Amino acid sequence: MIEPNALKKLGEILGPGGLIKDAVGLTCYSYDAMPYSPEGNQRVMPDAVALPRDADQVCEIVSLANEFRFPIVPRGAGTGMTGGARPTMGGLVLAFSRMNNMEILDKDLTARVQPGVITSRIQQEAERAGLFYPPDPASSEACTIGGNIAENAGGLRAVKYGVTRDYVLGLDAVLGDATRIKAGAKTVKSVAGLDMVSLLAGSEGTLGLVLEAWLKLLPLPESRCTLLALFETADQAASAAPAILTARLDPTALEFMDRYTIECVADQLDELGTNIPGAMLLVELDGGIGDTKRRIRDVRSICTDLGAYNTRISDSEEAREQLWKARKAISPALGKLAPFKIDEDVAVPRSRLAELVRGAGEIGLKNGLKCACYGHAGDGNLHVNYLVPAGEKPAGAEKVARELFELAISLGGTISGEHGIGTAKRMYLELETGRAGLDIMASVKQALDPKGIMNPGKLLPKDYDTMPGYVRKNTE
Amino acid sequence: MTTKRDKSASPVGLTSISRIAESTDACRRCGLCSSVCPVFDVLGLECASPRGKLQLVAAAGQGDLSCTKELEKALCLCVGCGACSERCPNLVMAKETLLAAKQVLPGKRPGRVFRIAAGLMSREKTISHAAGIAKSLRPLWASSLPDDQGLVMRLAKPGARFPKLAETNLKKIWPRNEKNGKPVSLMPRDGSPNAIAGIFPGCIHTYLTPKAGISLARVLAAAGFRVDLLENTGCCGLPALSAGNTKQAQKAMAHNLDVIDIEKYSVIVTPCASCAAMLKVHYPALASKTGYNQAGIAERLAAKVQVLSQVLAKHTGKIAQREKVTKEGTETIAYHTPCHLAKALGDSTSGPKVMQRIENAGYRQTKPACCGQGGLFGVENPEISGKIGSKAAKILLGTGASTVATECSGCYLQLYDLLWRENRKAEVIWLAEAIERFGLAGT
Ligand SMILES: Cc1cc2nc3c(=O)[nH]c(=O)nc-3n(C[C@H](O)[C@H](O)[C@H](O)COP(=O)(O)OP(=O)(O)OC[C@H]3O[C@@H](n4cnc5c(N)ncnc54)[C@H](O)[C@@H]3O)c2cc1C
Ligand code: SF4
Ligand code: SF4
Repeated sequence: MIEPNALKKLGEILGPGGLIKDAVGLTCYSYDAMPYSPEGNQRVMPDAVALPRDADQVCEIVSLANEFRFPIVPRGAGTGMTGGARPTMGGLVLAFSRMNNMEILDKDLTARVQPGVITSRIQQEAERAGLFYPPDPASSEACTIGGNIAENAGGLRAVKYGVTRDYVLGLDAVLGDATRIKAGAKTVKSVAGLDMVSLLAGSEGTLGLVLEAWLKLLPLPESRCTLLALFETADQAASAAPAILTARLDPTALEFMDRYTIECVADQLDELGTNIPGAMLLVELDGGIGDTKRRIRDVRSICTDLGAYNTRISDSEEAREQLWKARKAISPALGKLAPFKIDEDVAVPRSRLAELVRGAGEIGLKNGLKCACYGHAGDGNLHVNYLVPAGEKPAGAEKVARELFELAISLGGTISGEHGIGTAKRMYLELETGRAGLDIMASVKQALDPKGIMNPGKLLPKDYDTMPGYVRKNTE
Repeated sequence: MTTKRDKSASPVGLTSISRIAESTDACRRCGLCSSVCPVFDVLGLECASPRGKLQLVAAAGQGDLSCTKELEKALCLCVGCGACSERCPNLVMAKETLLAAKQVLPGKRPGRVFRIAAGLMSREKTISHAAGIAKSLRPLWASSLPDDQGLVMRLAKPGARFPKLAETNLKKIWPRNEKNGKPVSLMPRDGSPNAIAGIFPGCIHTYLTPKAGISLARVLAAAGFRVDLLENTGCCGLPALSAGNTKQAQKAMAHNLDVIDIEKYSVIVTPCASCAAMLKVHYPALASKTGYNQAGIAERLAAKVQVLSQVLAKHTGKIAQREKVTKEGTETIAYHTPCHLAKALGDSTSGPKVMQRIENAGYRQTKPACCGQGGLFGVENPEISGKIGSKAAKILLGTGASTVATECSGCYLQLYDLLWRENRKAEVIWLAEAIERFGLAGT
């Protein structure tokens, strides 16, 4: 538990309304969007929640946590899929919602943002200045840039524009041992020393906290165009995806959805009519007007050649928005099919996507579970969802997940394309990194966060746990 | 597989917290609903977000949280706009779940006096009296708020602008048969109506803005209806429901269902989108769960309820201006879409569609934004409500419009105050009044 003395000091640092201690308030910071973890999904309450207003308050809190040895659980919007923002043993949830200032520096084509800024706001404000912040996680309306950096979030445009890390030029951060550092720079390039930005990006709040970030922006593309292609089988669609890539048509987004996922959002897709296709691709291109028009037609003919029985091109803003809104709704909407899902986000080299789709289905079949797949086909990143029927216990979940990870790795892939490890996947991390990989990560952590206060119980497997003795006080 | 929202699945009317909490089972905690919640937008606290409030209901349902003052307070941080339910890709009925939960948490919440006041408001006999004392009641409501001085001060602050109470009421000014004193129907000019419309006037047109009730009737007559006043109807019951008083809401419903001759009307028009939402969405849910013995009626009534813009969106004839405005064509007007229309009834197009046809004023279209009133929410949480509302007022007036038309009592009252704060010349009027003032083109 957090000692009363430390709580008192926290209250002083944060000022009125900045520290939450009542059961109602704590309950609201005990979850994120993680669907399933082999370690259990039970609500673990934090001891307290801090709502800092500025970077200095955060730094003081980290010092205090070192002094009094309590865990810090950083939290953006709690849309993470792997439990990163959930307390595992109590401690202090540090929520960045009040640190949400940003400015667009249009002369530099950059943005300066605090960690609590909602991602879609960055996109909108950039757009207002004729600029473009490309990363677009499907949760963009809700998630924060701090969470995006900490998870190195990908999203719908990664196939052309890359992931969050690719847009982070520099960071103001505080490490686990309370040292405040500037990582990277405000410039478009910098090779002054080790690449600390890359180390922090994707570290899931286990090494330090992002206090501010400088983001790279691009000029806003002149036009955008979206193609919807319907196929009879998942195999056809999964084979068309790499064909579009190898034809060098440079899609901004290349999304795959199978029958079950389409079913879940069919009410939002007027184009479908009553017929649910076996699979579909959603392809977006951007660039000069004439150029996008030409390329989208080429994409269409590839799809048709490879079996698409129906295609539709949308270039109006409204029609495109509707399509992408439906796409972004899939993850939660799958709840309509089954109350419980094992939701993984494996990725493979793009040429092997069809094998992954097939294999994932077979694992489901073998274990008696329906398998719903969708995802960023352009990145070879597939969201595989095994649906557990109502009333059934997800008993075999651990085994199913392991089989899927083994499949992905055997195809030359990774166990997580973008959602991160958190608590949900830490027991599988070794499959991919080996023991040596884990050991080196642990030494990095030891160097930056010697007392192990930063987001304990995440990322590294149990035997690397840093605060085994910490016990939450009982607030009830 | 059903993907459309099923109204009968609404938990409104359930009486056990564990049953109500079942409707949170489907929540995947994705946070998409939070991104559209006006209260979360202003407060930024997870406990003010729909996702957070649903998790609180879930925890209460599992017995992990007891019914404390904090819990009630958090659950009441909701204007009831319905944006969350509309946004949820997973069809979780977030707003309805919160509404239902309010009913079963014991009255420890600070606004208890409110429930009593709202109960009074819902009772036909006392309603005119309540309207009479509404103004003096405000400080009383204020005194039931938490001992946070700032809030109380704001509510009781002299500047809060409230429409002047009408000397008369709609029943008194509605034309009557000289011999038997019964209200007469308004007829279209050519004397041959296409259909019969019944006006469910609600509290606001009955007591606060009765002249607008007559405007509404004339506009409907001009659109070709024979128009009756459903004069024996009372409060729709929504104030009681949102104050956590199901019993009173049920009584109001039973009364209204008893006195409306549903089969007689092809459409039942409410001037207020909130009344419409109550009649259309909550009556069927309440009726099915509260054992109201004529459950079928609630659905039959629901099928006929519309607000004015919905009626006019389908009636394409011209409606002439009633009086010439002084400086023709210089006026600009915006339309405030009530959340209860856009979200609860799922219709955000009828209003703008009708407004496009406004003749002698320039229509300025805006994106819908919540006004922050939310029935009792605005009185209980004036500060938050004001913040939400002033954003909406800025959007509306930012178009250069000097007049704003709407069709919801809560929005009307809120904008009556907030537009004035933004611009002393700006004014809110009822949609029917706007049509009479400027005329509506035929299509
Ligand atoms: C519907 C839905 C769709 C999604 N789609 C995508 C997608 O397309 N692509 C994708 O990559 N992800 C996706 N996600 C996952 C999730 O949205 C991302 O991981 C996102 O980056 C999390 O951001 P957040 O603000 O919610 O962070 P949280 O969930 O609050 O936290 C995530 C992690 O970041 C840490 N953290 C938060 N803020 C800071 C900080 N300032 N400093 C240090 N650490 C911090 C937390 O401790 C935690 O470990 C989706 C999730 C949902 C629910
Ligand atoms: S209610 Fe719906 S939108 Fe809101 S968090 Fe739950 S699943 Fe997501
Ligand atoms: S009904 Fe409106 S105010 Fe209430 S929780 Fe939902 S979105 Fe927020």
